Amino acid sequence: MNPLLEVDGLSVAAPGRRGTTYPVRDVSLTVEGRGTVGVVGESGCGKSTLLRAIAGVLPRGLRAVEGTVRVDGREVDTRRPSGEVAMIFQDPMTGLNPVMTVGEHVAEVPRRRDGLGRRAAHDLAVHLLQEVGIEDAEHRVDAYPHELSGGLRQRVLIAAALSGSPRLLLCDEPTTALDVTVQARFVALLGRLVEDRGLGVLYVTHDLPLLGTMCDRIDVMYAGQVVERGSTREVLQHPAHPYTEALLAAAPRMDSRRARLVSIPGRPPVLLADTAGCRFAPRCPHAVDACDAAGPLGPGTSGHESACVRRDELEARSERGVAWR
Amino acid sequence: MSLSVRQGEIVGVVGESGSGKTSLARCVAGYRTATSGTVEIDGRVMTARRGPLDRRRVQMVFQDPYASLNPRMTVRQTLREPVVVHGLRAAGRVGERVEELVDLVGLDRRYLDSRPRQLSGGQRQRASIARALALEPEVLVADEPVSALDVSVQAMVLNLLADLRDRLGMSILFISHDIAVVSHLCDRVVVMSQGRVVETGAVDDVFLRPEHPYTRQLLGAVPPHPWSGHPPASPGTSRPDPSQ
Repeated sequence: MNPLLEVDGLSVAAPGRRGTTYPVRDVSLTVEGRGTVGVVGESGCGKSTLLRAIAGVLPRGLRAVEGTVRVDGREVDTRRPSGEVAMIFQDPMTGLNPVMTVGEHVAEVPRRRDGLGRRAAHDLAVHLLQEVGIEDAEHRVDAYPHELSGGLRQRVLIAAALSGSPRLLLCDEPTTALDVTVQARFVALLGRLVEDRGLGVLYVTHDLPLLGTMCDRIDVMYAGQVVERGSTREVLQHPAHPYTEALLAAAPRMDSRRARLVSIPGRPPVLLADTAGCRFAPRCPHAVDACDAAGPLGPGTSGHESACVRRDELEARSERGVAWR
Repeated sequence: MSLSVRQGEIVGVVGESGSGKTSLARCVAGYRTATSGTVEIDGRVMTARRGPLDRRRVQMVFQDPYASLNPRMTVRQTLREPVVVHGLRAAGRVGERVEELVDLVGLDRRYLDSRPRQLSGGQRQRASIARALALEPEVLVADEPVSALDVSVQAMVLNLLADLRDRLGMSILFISHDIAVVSHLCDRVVVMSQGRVVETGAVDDVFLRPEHPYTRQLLGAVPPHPWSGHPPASPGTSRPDPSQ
């Protein structure tokens, strides 16, 4: 059986004055139906560009130059949106048009694409708002965005995303602007939609602890490439790439206060031409000469892949639970 | 509501959007006037219209350094301005003070002539902290200073704030909706809900043994840190850091 989403060797090019850059370079990944996959990395690692390419909403000037995106085995055009893929964005304040009511937003796609009548669109909107857990949906359907809290707006965006009956939901940091309690309810709602509708979810964030609570598998992205991939448990408990380890060490934790956080010096590189070797090496505390010739993602133990040339040492260290240098 | 911050202490204020955290911060910093009640710094009551000396004593760091730094001014100009306006150094010694300030926040001196758009998010937030420190305040009010930053950059800014407390004895009122960040950085915490303080105390007491149901609800929503591994060796040891 085909996976719900299959991205194969995708590269996105951005022509610029100083030459073409590649925000996404040779990325392959899959999402199964009824499954949630997390993509994690810093700003500028190409996560959002990857999502936009899959959704067919790349910003002007960017285009997919290599590779394919398949949904349910059928190739989709990365130059235009497809009905099977829906996307929700980071900022619920700017994602909604201030002069449209909630109901108009939610039913816009069925109205325009499927020619649904006014009455039916209204009923559909109420139904979808109820599905995403908005109480008093019959009244909220006529509200304007400014009358809603951030959490409610994010739910309205999900309802609108569901209105086209997508198979795949792409989420670009949807909870970054929300309170923790609202975030927890949002994550619970996503989990329910995955179960009830058999949705596949690709969830992008820089918040690793959050992914730990909701994803089956995690892809770690750095400088346009996937550098580590595995089950959530494997990636978070036995990171096999120094970048993943650095992201984990940078996140403050409740159980060890006052320790110094480990920040990652420098910032992700801009991807001009094809750079050989590991792109994280200039920022990596464990870099050795062999990194200059590092290859792509390779298998480690139990289907857990890493692009690090020292992945075996890293994994062995985390198994033993001792510091590694 | 009432709260106090001692010298050399970071007090965190947590609560959801709309709980009054930002209004509190703006009253303390003097950007808006309280309907009733007073703000005292070192025993001195701040009046509704603060004079220049009182304004200097509390400085604020904002969430979005891109919005709070003047995009047309270089870092040097941004830092010179408050020093000159408040007459804190003789004309010939202002440049020296500006260099001290960027050193203090760990921003490389070669960025002095950069404008905000040429800086990364972390560098911008360092520049805006340096600007707040330019007036030699006794209290810093930081309103969500790391919530717009990447986790790796956030770590840098949190370490800097901890250093300011430990090295300069700075008092900081730290507003955040991120419980893990507050737990990591702060000495004491104030939990706010609907404009009121519902619980307050040492971070260890409040977060390990919460008494108010609202505090428990907040803590229950925090995703646990998934990693039990050891922190890696300090980065940047084997190769020079390309950004510094």
